[in-house]
Amino acid sequence: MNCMEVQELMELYYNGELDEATMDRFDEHLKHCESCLNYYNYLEKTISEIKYMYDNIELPKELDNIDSLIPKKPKKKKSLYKKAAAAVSIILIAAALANSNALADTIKKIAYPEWASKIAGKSVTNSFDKGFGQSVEISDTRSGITMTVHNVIIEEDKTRVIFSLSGVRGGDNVSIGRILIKDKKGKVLVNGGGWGYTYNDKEGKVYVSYEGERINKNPDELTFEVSDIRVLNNRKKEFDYSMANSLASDIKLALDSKIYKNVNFKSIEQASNKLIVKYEVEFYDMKTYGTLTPYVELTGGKKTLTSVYSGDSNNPQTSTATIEETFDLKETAPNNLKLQFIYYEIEKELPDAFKVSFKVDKSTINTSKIEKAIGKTITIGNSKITIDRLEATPSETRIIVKEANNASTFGNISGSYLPELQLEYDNKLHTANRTPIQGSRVNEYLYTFDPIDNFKDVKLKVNKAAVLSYCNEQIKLTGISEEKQKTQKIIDEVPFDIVYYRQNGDLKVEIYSSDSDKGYLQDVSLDKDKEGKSIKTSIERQDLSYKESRFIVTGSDFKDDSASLVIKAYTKIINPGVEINFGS
Amino acid sequence: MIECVRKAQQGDREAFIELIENKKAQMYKTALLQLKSSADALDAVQETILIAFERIYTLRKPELFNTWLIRILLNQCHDIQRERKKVIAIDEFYESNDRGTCCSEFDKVELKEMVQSLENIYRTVIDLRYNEDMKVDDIARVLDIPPGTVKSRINKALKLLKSQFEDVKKEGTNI
Repeated sequence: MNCMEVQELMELYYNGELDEATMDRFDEHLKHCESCLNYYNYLEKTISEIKYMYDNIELPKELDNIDSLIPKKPKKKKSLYKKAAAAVSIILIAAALANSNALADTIKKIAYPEWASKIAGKSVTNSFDKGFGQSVEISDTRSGITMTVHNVIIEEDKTRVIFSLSGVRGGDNVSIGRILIKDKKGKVLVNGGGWGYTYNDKEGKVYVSYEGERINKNPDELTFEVSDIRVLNNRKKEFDYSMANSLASDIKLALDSKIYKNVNFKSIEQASNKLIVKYEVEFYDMKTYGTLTPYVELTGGKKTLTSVYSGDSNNPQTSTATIEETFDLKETAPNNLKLQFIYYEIEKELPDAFKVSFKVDKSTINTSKIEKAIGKTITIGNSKITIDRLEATPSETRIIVKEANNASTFGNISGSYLPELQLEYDNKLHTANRTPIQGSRVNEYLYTFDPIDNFKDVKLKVNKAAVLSYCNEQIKLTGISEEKQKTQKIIDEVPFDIVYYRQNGDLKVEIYSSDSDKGYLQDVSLDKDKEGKSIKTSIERQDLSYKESRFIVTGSDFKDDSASLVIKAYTKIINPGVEINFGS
Repeated sequence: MIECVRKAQQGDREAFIELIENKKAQMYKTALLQLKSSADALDAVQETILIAFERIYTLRKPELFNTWLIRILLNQCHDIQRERKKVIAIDEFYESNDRGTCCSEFDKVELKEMVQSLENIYRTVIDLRYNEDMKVDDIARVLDIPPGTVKSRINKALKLLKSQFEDVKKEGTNI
């Protein structure tokens, strides 16, 4: 070790962060080197003085009482698009559900609405079967809208209220600003602040299965309160496509709106087979309306390819969102196109809170829960996850998966890294009901299964997981002509089929996984041409899921007869082969 | 602490207060060293507390609460610096300092001033290392730079302090 090395390590030495071997060599050097020893003495003194300096900074008295600096409640807003992340989730109901007459009969007979089990899964049915769901059926009508609380289920860690809103015009949307559950004295037990945004069936009825935090005590009476309801109407504004060619500066769209202050079209560009529309939307109140993003529809053309949205309803400083939408113009004559701007307008704002109070049938409250620790860490690609525990409540069985402690620092395990979990019992394999959602604790992911009555011989199996892999596999495409050529490339057991041909002077390459159970494509590109020049490439992906995707790579203005395609990233399906047994 | 962060994430205000109580002194000192003004430092800390309270649910790894909080704080300090572009008059600085508590040869030259006068990147590593008591890897994470860079910045900062100190000493003897 020379003096320079030693001086570089000094600070770590002082803080005790060197390993033993290095420390020994360090000590050895210091014994014989006076200048390093002097430097070390200086360093030691400086550091202790720095610490002393910090210790002697006095705190201002304003910091004595932290309590007074913090608001009573966090202004937590959750984006509509983060449904999965919401600890409080409002489950949207598909439009086609039982009509209301049939529903009335069903309620009498089985005491819970049939649609409820459709939206809330088997757990609702099961809760009732086991006798701890409670039928309420009380309504409150205000300004022509009726809220009816149908059922309440109180369990160990959630409160579920199944309710509907009727009297909404068919096709309109409803947003619900706030949901509260209060006790007899008006104390809030569950605060489901934030925005719900529901769809409407054709009958003008909106169904919601609201899942809130648990109620810790056993209340005699509860009040369910829904407020800040807005009925929203979809509006369309058609505009002249020819302005696409004359869009020299921003064009303002005149809307007489309470939601959007300004809508500015920044550019409408037509590039080869695509139409790219960029616009800015300024909201009067981003926090309240930021999720009601307008969009552009193209009639006479093909589907929308992508929509890029930038806006942040969490940030009070922003009021503007930028939206970029790309349309596919293939096989469409541009002069037949019509652009439509679709936005929302407030049809009705209901200032009143809808309230329904009901007595709680305490015999129906069930707060039992079985918890079994697992703590098995498995490696999936570069990620490590821990299958942390099993929880069984009367209405569902959950497996909770965590990011392992030594997982990469700020990285998160994304959905694609989470394995498929199966439970085996009664000689049958049961796959999780839902794709894992983020649990109420931030680094946890929740898999839910149907409830299990008997925990004898239950086996947890992890047979499938997806691993994102990066590579740089070159595939030579030779003899390029108008005729379609086929080739196949197998990377790490994942087979990719490739079709390539020349079309209108462009090179077209279609590439897709021919066995999506083994893996699928994530990213691909064209390499440089023979002269080392970059090929102008555009890539589009057909189908929304990567798993089924066919990538179409276009090399513009391509004259060579050969090219090379580069597969940059793919997802491989692996079998971790983990099995965990639960005794009785 | 992790349990406390989790509680705070689920809306437990008391848990959040407890977290801040533990960190408030370090936060204030960091801000003071960055901003050189007690009022500005207090602003930065208050703003950080508010942001943290509102956004704590977005923190995905509770064990990273400290680094997350410092990141917010440093961003706040940066914003304030940029906004106010405030140049502190030396006089004001001296007035605001409580001197006379030091008890070594450093007391004549006011170490705090020296640390504050360091270039931003060096001041920050010194602060994170000796005020926040962070490990090299954690500093790297907060500043989003490689651990090696952190180490060399710490060394450089200590060397700069040494040379400044010597300069001041020389001046002192001249007077």
